[in-house]
Amino acid sequence: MKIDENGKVNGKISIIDIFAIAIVLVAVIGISLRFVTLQIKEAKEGKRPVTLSYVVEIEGVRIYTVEALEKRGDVIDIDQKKVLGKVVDVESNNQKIEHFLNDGTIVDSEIPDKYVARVTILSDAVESNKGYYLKNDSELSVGANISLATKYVNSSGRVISIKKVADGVEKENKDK
Amino acid sequence: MKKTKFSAIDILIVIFLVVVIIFGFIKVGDFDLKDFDFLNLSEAKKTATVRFSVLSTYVDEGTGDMVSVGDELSINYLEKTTATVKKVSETQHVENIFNPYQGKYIEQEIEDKFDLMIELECTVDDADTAFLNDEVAIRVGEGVYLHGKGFTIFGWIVTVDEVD
Repeated sequence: MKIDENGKVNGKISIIDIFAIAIVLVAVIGISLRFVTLQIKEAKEGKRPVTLSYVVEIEGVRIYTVEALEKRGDVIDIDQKKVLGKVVDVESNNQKIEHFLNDGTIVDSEIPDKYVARVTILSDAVESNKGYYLKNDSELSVGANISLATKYVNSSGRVISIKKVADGVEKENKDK
Repeated sequence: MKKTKFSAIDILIVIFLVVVIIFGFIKVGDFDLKDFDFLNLSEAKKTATVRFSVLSTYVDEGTGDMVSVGDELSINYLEKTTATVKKVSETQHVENIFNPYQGKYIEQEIEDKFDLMIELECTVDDADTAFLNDEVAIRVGEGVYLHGKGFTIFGWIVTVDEVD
């Protein structure tokens, strides 16, 4: 391979052009492998679409948050701007907390102006051998703290139950 | 002037570099392609007027005096994101403290500390996922800075209602 005084290999193609083409090819191959590998991995893990119904418990909120949750609507991922599901039910009670009295007894007291809300969400998700995943690729598991945002409210809470809603199959995970 | 001929490879390289630079600016520079929509070819946005309340708790006495009905405050220091004050109310801050002798919560007013509720109104983009005042989502639970002449108040959005 000879490079002449004009920088051309064997007098035909510039060495700079060769380097540039090599960089472009590496970038294209690298990007393709990145996404192809991901798809193969997903296929191997056997992800399958499911519909989930899960309940998020939100503690210690004011009545304003409860009222905003009761407007229901789509549940969204604020950062990715994806719709993850929809709120189908909201239950709320006064927030209670255990306190020790001076006589050594324990009493359950209602905290004034504080509420606990249990929000039921219906969501299209995927199930794999390892667990359940929402549309933003985040894992959904009982006990996990997740953010809960709709058009009207931004809050967060703990997942207390997950139920798979599928044709003829029901499997329930509950936080005991 | 000598006429320069370009090889096909040079043209491909230039096109590739231009595409990379443009996408790089969009990704890194956080530009929105809609900013270049000079002919307004994109679909017309749906707008709405919302009235929302911001609650700021445990503030000093007189904080509410800095805000007047009709003031235009900016949200989160963003010049283009403003809202008009419709109502201001200040109440004594109350803490609920558990009394272990009585076995229940007792209300106690805190001297010199107040809760400030500011009601504002603004025009927003009525998107599917949020009411958007420029970049700021007007949603219950969002923390916002309200900035006026000579003051900044931090509070939480507690109510959002559409105005007919």
